[in-house]
Amino acid sequence: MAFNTNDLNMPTALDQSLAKYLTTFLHNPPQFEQTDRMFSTLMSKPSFMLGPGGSFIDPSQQRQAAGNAYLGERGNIASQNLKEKEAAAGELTNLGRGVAGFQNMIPFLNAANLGGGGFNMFSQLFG
Amino acid sequence: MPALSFPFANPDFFFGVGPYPGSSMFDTALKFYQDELKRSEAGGGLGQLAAGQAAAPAAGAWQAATTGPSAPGGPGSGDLGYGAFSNLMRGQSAARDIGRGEQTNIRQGAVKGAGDVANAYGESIGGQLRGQMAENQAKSQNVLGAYADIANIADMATKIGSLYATGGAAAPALAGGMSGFGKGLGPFSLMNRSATPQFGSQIDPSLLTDPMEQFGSGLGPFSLMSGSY
Repeated sequence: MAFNTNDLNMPTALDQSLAKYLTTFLHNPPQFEQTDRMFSTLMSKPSFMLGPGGSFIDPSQQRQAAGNAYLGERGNIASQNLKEKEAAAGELTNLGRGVAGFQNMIPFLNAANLGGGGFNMFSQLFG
Repeated sequence: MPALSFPFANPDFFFGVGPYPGSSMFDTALKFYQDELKRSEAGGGLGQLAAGQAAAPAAGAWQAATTGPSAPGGPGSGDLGYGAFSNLMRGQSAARDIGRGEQTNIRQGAVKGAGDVANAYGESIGGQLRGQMAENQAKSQNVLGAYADIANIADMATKIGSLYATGGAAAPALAGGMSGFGKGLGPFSLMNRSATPQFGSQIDPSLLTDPMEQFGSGLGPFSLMSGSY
């Protein structure tokens, strides 16, 4: 099957699809829903809890422990999200480089095909 | 393909796009990356599995703490409870961190993998186009070379005709015609490797300005034919 330079639009579109996904990811805030859900009850309704060996945890202790863990986990999520966005930006750069490479290849291939007495010239003579 | 609800975006790539060289391998790889990304985004995939596995040590720590001897209401009993609860919270957070880290690895790996597939597709198509072009150029040069040889033969026939018309005075013209024969890039060009046969008594230098001798010597598309002149 014969191809032409328009076929290079396919990998370009594939890169653009990936870029759209990454761009949407970059524009979204960190996802705190999961950790919010985990700690919401503990934070909103502190209660007296039984501890190991017959010990107990009073509501203020429970809130303190849960609060520390909750804030720590949010910090981890934000930090991880930032690193992931840095990686996504780097990947976007690679995708852009790929798109530019494919699109820049098209006129060069067309020019080489015309100037070298290739298929188009052949068509003009015998078409 | 069923539409899924993702937190970020629907990572629907496309595959099975055409019979490009290597398509079957590229498409399989692309589908794997896409499915991996969807599982990760849907929240029911490997990330959660890793979180569940990582939660086991935290649960074990909680169990160990609860079996420790402690007198009810005795000294430090409140600290024991607080410490155990804090450990449980930290353990659960760490487990979820590991799960999210795993999701991050999957997402980045899948996106990078899909990007690599796109690049491989581009290289494959670009290589195929260069190959096609080289083939077409070779064919057209071959045909054009033969075309030039045919033109030279026609020119020679004309000169032979004039030879008959002038009763032999145009013999040098015959030599000029033969000198052009086989100088193209076509199949007849092989005949021009040895010295050109000389017909007649001498060569008229003016014949070198024959239009066919100038043909292809410019910078236009026919310039490739001037290689042997």
